[in-house]
This record gives sequence, C-alpha cells and structure tokens, in this order.
Amino acid sequence: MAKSSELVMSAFFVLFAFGCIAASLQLPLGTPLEPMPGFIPLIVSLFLLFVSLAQFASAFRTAGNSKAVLGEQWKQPASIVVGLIVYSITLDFLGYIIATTGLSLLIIRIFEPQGWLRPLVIAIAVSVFSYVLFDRLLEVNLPDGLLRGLL
Amino acid sequence: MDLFSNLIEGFSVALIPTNLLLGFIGAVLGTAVGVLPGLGPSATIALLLPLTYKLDPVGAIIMLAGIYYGAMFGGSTTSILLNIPGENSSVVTCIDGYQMARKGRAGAALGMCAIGSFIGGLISVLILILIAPALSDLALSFGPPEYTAMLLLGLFMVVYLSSESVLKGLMAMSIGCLLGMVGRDVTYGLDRFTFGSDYLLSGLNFVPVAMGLYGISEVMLNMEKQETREVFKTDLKGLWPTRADWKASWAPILRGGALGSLLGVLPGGGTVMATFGSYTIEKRLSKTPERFGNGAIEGVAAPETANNASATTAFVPLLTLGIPTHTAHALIFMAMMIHGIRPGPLLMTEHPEMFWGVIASMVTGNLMLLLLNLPLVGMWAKMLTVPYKYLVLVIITVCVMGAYSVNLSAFDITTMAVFGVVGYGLRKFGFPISPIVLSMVLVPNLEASFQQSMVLGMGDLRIFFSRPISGTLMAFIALILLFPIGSWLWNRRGDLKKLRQQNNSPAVKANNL
Repeated sequence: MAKSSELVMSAFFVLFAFGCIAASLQLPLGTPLEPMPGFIPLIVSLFLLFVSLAQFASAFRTAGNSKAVLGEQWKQPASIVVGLIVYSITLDFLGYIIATTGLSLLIIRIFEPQGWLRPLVIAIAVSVFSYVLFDRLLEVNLPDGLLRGLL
Repeated sequence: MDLFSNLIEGFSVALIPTNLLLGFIGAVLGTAVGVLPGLGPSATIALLLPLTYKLDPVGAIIMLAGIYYGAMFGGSTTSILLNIPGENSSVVTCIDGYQMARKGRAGAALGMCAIGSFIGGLISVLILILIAPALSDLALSFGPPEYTAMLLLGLFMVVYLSSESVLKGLMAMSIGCLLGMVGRDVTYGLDRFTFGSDYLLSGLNFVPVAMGLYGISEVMLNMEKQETREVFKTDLKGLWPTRADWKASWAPILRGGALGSLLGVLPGGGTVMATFGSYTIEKRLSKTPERFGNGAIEGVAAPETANNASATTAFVPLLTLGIPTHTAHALIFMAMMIHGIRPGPLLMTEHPEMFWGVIASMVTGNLMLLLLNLPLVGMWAKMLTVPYKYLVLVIITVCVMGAYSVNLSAFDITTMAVFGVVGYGLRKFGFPISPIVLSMVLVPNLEASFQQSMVLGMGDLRIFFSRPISGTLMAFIALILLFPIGSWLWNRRGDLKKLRQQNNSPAVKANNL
C-alpha cells in the first residue's frame, strides 16, 4: 500500500515534469549565449524529470514497509481547507467579522462537536478581537461586507 | 569607519526605544513559538511578514531576527518538560534535560539552557562581528559566475542537509525553482506558466505560499495526529546553577559556543549539526560518559549553547553574501527586499544602520531573552497546557490576515489554502519544505546571474569551472551530488558481499543440495 503510494507520487511528478517541459517548450528558448524565458525553466523541468524517474525507480525497488500515507483522521484537515476556500470566496460579500465568525465556529466545532453556544461565543470574540487588532490598530483595511455602515 | 565605531553606530540604532520594543516583541514571540511544538520560527515570520510593511525597515528586521533566535531559546523548555523538542535543534536537549526534570532538577536544566544560550549568543555575535566585514570584502570581488555557483551551492547544501532523501530534496528544489519562475519575465516581458491568469502575471505571491506550506500544513498535520501533551509536573525552583553545575558546564559552554558559531554558517542544517556535534564531543571528552543520558548538565549546556550560537552566525551568509541558507532567513531576505534593501556585500556600506543595528540588536535581544527566560520559565511551561484548539484558532486567524493583507485580495487566502494542501501532501511523503521556499526566493537572482555569466563566457559553460572561486564551489556541488551515489554504491557492494558470503556458507550449500 505504502509502496504503491510512493510509486503513484513519483509517477505524478514524472507527469508534472513532462507538463513543465511542454510549457517551457512553448516559450522562446534562445541560445546558451542569450538564454530566453524558456531556457532555465526547460533545464529545471528536465532535471525534475530526471530526479522523479530516479525516485520512481527507487520506490519500485524499496520494499513496502513504510507507514501508510493518509491517516484515518484526514477529514478534519480537509474540512479546514474547504472552510478556508469558502471563507476566501465569501469574505468580500459577508465582511470580515461574519466570515471569520463562521470560520472560527467551524474550527471549534471540529474539536468540540457538542454544543453551539460556547463555540459561538468564542468565535464571535475571536472575530471581533482580531478585527479591532488588525483593522483599527494595524490599519489593514478589512472588508465590512454586510455590516457596512454599522462598523 | 573602524569596527569599534561601527559597533557604536549599531548600538545607537539597536537602543532606540522603538527598536528595543520591537526586539522585545520578537524575543517574546520567538520564545513562545519555540516553546509550543508545532509552530516554528519560519511559520511565525511568514505570518508576521505582512504586518512589518508599515514598520521602519531596521525595526522590522530586528523583530524578525528576534523571533528566529528567540525560538532557539524557547525550544529547550518543551524538550526538558515534555521530552518533545520544540524545534529540531532541541532534539539533543531532550536526552539529558528530561532526565534532569525526572530527577527534580528541571529548574537547573532550564536555567543552564538560558545561561548557555545567552553565552552562545554573545560568542557568536563576536565571531559575526569579526568575520562579516572580511566576507563582505571577499564577496565584492565575486562576478556573476561566482555568484551563480554560490547560490547553487547554497541550494544543494540545503537539499543535502535538510532532507532524509536527497532525491526528494532535489525534487522539492526543482518545484521551488519552477514556482519562482511563474509570472511575467522582467527582461523579455513574456508570460511564463501563467496559463492566461491575470493573478499569476506578477508571479506567485511568496507570503501566502510560505504560510500555506508551513502554517496551514502544520495545522493539518497536527489535527490529524491529535496528540495529548502531558507536561512533566515538577518544581521549577533553583534556576540558578549551583557551583558544581558551573564547574561541569563552563568548558562545554565555551566549546559549544565555538562549534555552534562555526557550523552555523553552513546552509540548511547548521543548527542541528551543531547540537549533535557538541553533545558527542562532550560525551567523548567526559571522564564519566555514563552520566550522559542520565541527566548530565553538560549534556544540556553544550548543545543549547551551540544551538543559539549557530542561530546567530547563520545570519553571516544572508548579511554578507545575500544568500539565505534557512527558510527563516529566506523570509527575512524577502522582508528586506520588500523594504527596498538588498542583502549582500554592499549592505554594510549602503545600509550600515541596518547591518550593524541588527547585529547589535542580537546582543540586546540575547540579554532580553536571558531576563525573560529565567524568571518567566514557569509561565512558558504553563503555556504548554493551552489546548491545541485555541492555538489553531490563533494560527488560522493570523494566517488569514497575513495572506489577505499583502494585496488586500481574498484570492491570496485560496492560494494559501491550496499550498497548505500541497505542503501537507509533500510532508506526508517525506519531502522537505525548506528547499521549495529557498529556491523560490533565490531563483530570480540565480537566473539573472546565470544569464550574465553566459554573456560573460560567450555562451560557454566552462566559465563556471575555469575561474578559481566558481570552480571550487562547483567542485563542492559535484561532491554533494556524487556523495549519495557513492555511498549507495558502497552499501550495495557491502550487501552483495554479505549475500555472497551467505550463499557460500555450509548451511546454505547443504540446503541447496
């Protein structure tokens, strides 16, 4: 299982290197005397292809005795990433305070699945405190969103 | 100006109240992230980078440098009380530090760590002051081929020293180079790897990428582990070492300081090598080596001194050659560039207030760290009991703010999240992250100096090998690349020999019959 993960990973990088080579070849390469924008990317992509193939060969030879790559708890990290992407999409519309309250609530609920009141209070406190710190004190100019006119 | 007047100028900058305050903030934050396992100095510097835009450049760098060496100070607390190193450089401190805590001597161990770190910091600042001007002068004679070779050597050293697998390190380095080349080429105005996206025209923004690779991926990994931390409950009195402790530790502290200062200059793993090296030396030199591993105070004093000394001299390549050799330094390099200051041989003459001010701040910073760590060690230990869910909230909020505040663009938060997943995946497969970040920062300089070298050498690659300095550096790179192949062949030869001996053994022959 772990050996096959290593093989899949190496194969992915081999394909990635091929993609980079193709993208580099679409750029003007120039000559060694006058290297143009595609020259160094092509050299680096070829180097990546070479080391990825070597890694593939090494993974192929190595016995599959290493630990499994994905643990059972992968859903929690994944929900953080999804939460961050949703946050970035809704930030300008909802505004910093509402969007951050939502994200903080999600994070606390991941760790504390029981109850809503305590996580909600903590989430609001975090968003208001960070808003005051970053927007008012450090002048970061955060979006007001739905609360425009109230802040 | 001579050395003395330079130092006076440095202290006149470092002792400005604002700079003292920023140094103090850096030292406190650094100690805090050093104490807390899971949030290292690189992630913290990445998080705070955008917040330094509005600060005075010297003050900003003083604060960021404070975070770096403050983390080295703080890393020992978790090693001693939890038997978990706060930083890689504190791994060795676990061996004897935790044993001392178990014997009721946690206070003495923590006290000696603080004092050793302080002395190590002072020794290395002294060495930095002495060698930095000479190195800067040498670097001024570097042409594009020497600079290209130096950058390549720095990258390959980081790959070699920071990676368990050299192949994976080289892959990480290549990925970092390719990421660093995204955007519009400044010389020819052509778009590279932008795939028609306007967002990528100005290149991948370094801050969200670094925060994703470090901060978010770290959170994801820690959430998956869900470790429970158990702080060793012990009396933290008696922080000041006894006469016997001093007698046992003064020589290891001096040796650790010297070794750490020397190894700190090496890219990548200087700090870790310094701690392991100093521990091994002390064990070899000791008349009672059996005490090591059972709570010998020298086993705490020497590596902690070496650790802090190397953290300071690690600034030498950055300040004198303009080459960051550690992720935290790459971030400080970026901070300097953002403020319009180019680190390198001209830094000392063009921005003496920055060069000498930062060096002088290391003296004041180390003093602050000593004063912070001795009386407040109980408070740092209490920080270890803060539940991880609250730390995650703080980390994510600061990450989001850091990514957003660079361009006031919500899309940077998506970039950060994507690179969080990339970092998580790469770390799960055992890829080192530092080569990605370092090569991403260095590749524009590398490309420019390579192009200049090619023009200088009329398109002939031999220019890198025909000049004495670049030729020597290239020979080092060849050694770094050939060493793993050589050692693999040597091991394979040994395995084949063993196999042949086994096949020739009477038992196997009998079985074959």
